[in-house]
Amino acid sequence: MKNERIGLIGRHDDPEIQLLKAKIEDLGAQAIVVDFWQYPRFSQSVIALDRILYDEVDLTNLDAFYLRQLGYFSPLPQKEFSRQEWETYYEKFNEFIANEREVMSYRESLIQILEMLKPVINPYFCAFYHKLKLYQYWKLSNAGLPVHDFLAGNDYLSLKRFIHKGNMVAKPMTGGYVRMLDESTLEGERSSLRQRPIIAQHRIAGRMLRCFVLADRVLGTCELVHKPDETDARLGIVAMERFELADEFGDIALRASQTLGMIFAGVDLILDEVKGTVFVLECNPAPLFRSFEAQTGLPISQELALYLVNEAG
Amino acid sequence: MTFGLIGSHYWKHICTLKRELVDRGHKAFIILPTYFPQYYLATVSKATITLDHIELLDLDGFYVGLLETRERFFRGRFGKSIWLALRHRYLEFAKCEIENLSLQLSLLLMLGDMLPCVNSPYSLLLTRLRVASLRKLEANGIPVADLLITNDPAEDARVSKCVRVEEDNVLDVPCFPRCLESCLRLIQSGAAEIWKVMGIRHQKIRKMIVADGNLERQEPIPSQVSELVERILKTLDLQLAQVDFIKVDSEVRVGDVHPMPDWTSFEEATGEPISAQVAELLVQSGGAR
Repeated sequence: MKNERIGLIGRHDDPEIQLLKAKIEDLGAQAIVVDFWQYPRFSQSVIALDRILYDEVDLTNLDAFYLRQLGYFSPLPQKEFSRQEWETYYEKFNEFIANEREVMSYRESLIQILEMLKPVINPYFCAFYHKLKLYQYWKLSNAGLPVHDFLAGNDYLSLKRFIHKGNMVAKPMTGGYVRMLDESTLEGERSSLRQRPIIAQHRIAGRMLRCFVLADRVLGTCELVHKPDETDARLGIVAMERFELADEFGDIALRASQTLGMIFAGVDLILDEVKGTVFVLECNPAPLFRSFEAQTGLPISQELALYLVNEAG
Repeated sequence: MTFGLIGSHYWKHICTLKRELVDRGHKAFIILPTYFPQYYLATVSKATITLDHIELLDLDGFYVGLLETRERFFRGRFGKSIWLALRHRYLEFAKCEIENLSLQLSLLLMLGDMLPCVNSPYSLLLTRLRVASLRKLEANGIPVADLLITNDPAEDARVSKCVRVEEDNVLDVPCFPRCLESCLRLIQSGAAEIWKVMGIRHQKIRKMIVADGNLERQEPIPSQVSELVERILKTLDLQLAQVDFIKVDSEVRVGDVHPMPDWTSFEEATGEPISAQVAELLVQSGGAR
């Protein structure tokens, strides 16, 4: 297993990228980080009909790619500008946004062209699911997978009727924290529904699980043990423990990732042991794995590296 | 039948399309997603997608002609004091817009999964994947114009007959990716032509617009170009597009593909009944459903 060259599209300082790079190198292959955060200020790149260069490496000569981050979804950067930056953009915001659009288009075109030529894990469109949670729920539900009832939108009265049905949480469409939702909190947010929609979803108590899947197999499952009453899976974690997931639930995780076209995924499940049911919360196309494997010993990065090297071969 | 037209009331081609559908005895209403969420009520559940309490899944098809955010709000011309005050509102605005964009795109993709759409909502992504689309065409044996996009100054020396995108307005990004398209200078000097060809799947369009840098004129579409357009639509999974070809000497190559074209000026210049043909396409696909 020598000489394979794997491109890792992500940031140099990303711990997941660093770990995966080390694992690929342990297998005797070469890992090259393609860091678009350096582009176009500090990196040079070319797309022509016969080559794709990134800092003088012809990416068409690499054998496979892992797509950790696509970058931002909208050309409006999600950042707080300093007063000095903001003053600089006075009467020039058009050009700034035009630049952002060009860079976004360049980066995404490059990744999609690579996908035409080489294996890319995960495929380009999968990265969008991270920002299209609603579409994800819809697709999973239409495929017959167990998804909590939800109602999304900005219609106050419809949302109010929906939350009467039980214990609810509010979720953002793209990113941010999950929070409890009842009539009084909805009332408090009523005016903001003219600015942004929300997703209201039934809250089901149960064990919060992250199931890692790769191609057609389950690599392993971790349970995220939370403080009582924590609503967001990322907050209040007191332990990550290895969990033996029943085969039937593992199949659900596999079907969920396959429905969305993901080869590698972290599928979030919630297990109601009393009723013996599981619900799919979300499929993550570029999941964090470093902390999970550090605490549970699951060899996720090892398996992913092996898969990438085999695909490259 | 009833159709949804995703676009603006202020766009002539959307309004003429609506008129064509109504003339055929159908209903059509225009949806401008840019105005969501201030002016529309939208809800999505497992089984329903409603906009102002109209069930969109009951419709027979959609024309998908727009997806955009309200980023123009921050692109207006403001006095300096107003501009400085806007800094504190920017981040919240950007966060709201990404949520709205997510809902808009999710909603369109759901409709695309369930109903006939011209074009598929996935084609919206082609507008941000221009270079990838050209590479895809080239990989399928369709001749495309030489293309070099770079932020590497050293590449300049390797390119002849090129025009660089103006950098005067580029701000704070020292190495902006520049589009060096080898035919543009030739077009400006009149040595090359752009052929603007409208393509609609399985519909015959006879005329095209030819631009030689100074004037535009209409000409019959050569049969090999018609065949090429049909292949382009098939390769990119489009039912409708404007394809811009670049002709240098006797060689014709694809320069660009527009999946959401405004066909008004094309229709006026050539007399080709594009609106009627798009309406027919919608009616046929809705009827097939």
